[in-house]
Amino acid sequence: MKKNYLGEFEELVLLTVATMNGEAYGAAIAGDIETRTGRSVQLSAVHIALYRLEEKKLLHSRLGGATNERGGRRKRLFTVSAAGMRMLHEIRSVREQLWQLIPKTI
Amino acid sequence: MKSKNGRNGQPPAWMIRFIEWRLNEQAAEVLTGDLIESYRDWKKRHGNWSAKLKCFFQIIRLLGPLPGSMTRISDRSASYTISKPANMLSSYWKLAWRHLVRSGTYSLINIGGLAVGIAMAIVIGLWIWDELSFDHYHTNYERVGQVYQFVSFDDKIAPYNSVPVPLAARLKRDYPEVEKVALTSYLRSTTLVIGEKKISAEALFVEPPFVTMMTLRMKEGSMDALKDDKAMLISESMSKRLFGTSSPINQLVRINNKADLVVKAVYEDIPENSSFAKTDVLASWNFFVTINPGTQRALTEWDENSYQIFVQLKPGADFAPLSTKIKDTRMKLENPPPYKPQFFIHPMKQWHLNSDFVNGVAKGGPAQMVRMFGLAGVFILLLACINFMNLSTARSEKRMKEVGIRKTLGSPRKQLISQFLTESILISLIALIVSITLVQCSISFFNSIADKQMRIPWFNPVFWMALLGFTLLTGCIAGSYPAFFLSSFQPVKVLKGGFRSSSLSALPRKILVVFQFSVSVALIIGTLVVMRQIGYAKDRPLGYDNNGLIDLPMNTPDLYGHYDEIRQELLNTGVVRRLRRRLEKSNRFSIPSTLPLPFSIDSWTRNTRKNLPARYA
Repeated sequence: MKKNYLGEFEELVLLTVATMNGEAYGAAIAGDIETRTGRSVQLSAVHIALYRLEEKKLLHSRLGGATNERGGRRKRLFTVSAAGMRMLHEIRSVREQLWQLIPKTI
Repeated sequence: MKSKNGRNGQPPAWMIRFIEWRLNEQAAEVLTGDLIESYRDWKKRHGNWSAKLKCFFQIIRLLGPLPGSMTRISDRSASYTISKPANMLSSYWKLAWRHLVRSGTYSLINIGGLAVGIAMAIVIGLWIWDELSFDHYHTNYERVGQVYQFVSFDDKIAPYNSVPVPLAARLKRDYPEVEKVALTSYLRSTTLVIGEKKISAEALFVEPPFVTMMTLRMKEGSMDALKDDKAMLISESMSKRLFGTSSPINQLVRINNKADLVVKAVYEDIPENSSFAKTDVLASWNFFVTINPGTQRALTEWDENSYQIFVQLKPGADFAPLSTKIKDTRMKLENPPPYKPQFFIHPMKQWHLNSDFVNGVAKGGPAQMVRMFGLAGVFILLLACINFMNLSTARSEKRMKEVGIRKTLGSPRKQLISQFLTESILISLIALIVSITLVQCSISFFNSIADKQMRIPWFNPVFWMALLGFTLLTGCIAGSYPAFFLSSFQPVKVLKGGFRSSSLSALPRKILVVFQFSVSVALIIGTLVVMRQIGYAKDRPLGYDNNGLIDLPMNTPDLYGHYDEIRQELLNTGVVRRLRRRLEKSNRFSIPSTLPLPFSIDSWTRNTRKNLPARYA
């Protein structure tokens, strides 16, 4: 398998999708990241990240959940694929190894 | 979208339509849904306009031509398919760009030529705009005029804007169509003193209606402050020079070392393209009368022509009938003077561009100059366009083979036409950007030659529309020949080789080349003649040497009252070789008895000039 790497923002989006339990879609993800990190998030950037991740087969998507407040239009709901979950775990274990190696004096 | 309320909280309809045009149905549905949802939040937080702008940027980012947008990855991802026409469009741009880069020199010449042409046209256009909008700052532009008189000397009839004072009262009393009348002095160089600070300013002494007649915009104080004879109005920049940031209102200023006036109002600086541009200070006419004994005598004197009168007509009234009525006012009185004055009103509309008179008849003026420059601008632009067209046509014949192959591979004619048009539009758009840069870089240079304050109107939508419209038009016209002509070839003939376009099809190009060369030769000859003319005017012997000569106006009693002492002091410095005083050189009709006396000094160096104000202030 071709090795994929994730950008910081892509990782953030992927993680957020994982937390949202099948209810993740563009606007909601943007709002969630914004409140959690306090930084200004562009909706367009989220969309780009989402379809890149889908292209890398880290996300699955389906249509659904039309609501009134979006003018009766359906959402594209994203869920993390098995490959996506694997990727998240890998990233986490690498990070944790690195944290272990930091000298305690700091 | 159904109710009015519903639409208020949504992105503009055209943005949604754009998304629906560019994306397939599902992708558009998802994206617009997300935008509508977020839009409400943006609007709540940043207001309507920022929300719209933000929405617009999201769309540009996602669907625009930049790398990383959905357009670039669309073919690989099923959920974001971009509709076909847009895909074609982006491939046109891509191909156009590649052609441009591959033939570097050609593109450079073509873009450069067009850009210089457009830049010249923009500069000329700005200049013409500046000239045509002269005095438009004054809102009553259409209804304001100045009283002039034709005067006969030695069989010649000449116009003068100096008129007798009693005429003002006549105009007010006898002519119902006159709404306002204002007597004024000429612009006078005066000295303002406040504490230790002495500043030279250009002052106009006016009757109160002048301020509303010329619709000066007040920054502080009221428009009728001049009803108080001891009041004084100053321009914003003069206020800064005199008082810095502190408030000038109710401050005392000593004027010409004769009397104190109170600053009652500050007006916005009058723009450079107005007849009153240099006016720093407005003071009361009545005050002017009290300090000038000569003017007191002139109040009832019909043959003392030393002042200006401005009038404003009532809406609907015309200048011509009034001019006829007042023409012989003086000649009907006792003792008509030998110079046979005939009064008339010169409308503000004509002050700047139609101010020439030959023997009592209006004979245009700088308006002809404006027309000539306009014509030159059009020709330069036309030349640039023709050059552009010729270059693209000449080059297009190299691309016959490309056309042949593309046709063989099944490319419809419509696509070829679009391809060629896109290319020439791309070139003209690049030229537009280059030309704006050129104008921005050279505008200050042009301003110094033309003595103007022109700027690119960055925020004027009409300017941008005109520019963009013109550029697209040039692109389309220039691209039309290769687009329609080349795409009509039969692939077999082209690919077999030996294909020659018929002589008939080359005819328009030959005509264009001949026209282009004749116009450029004419322009070059014109430039040479003007250059030699200017050179002659500069080098022509004057009859005296003006090196080391300076001229100082003496506008306070401090100076002209102590001429002998000043003269001695200056001679003692050793740098001044000779000096003498003289009456002000006047091209006016008559000289008021209280004119300040300027003096001129020979052989003067810059160093002492700097020292002077300190010593005599």
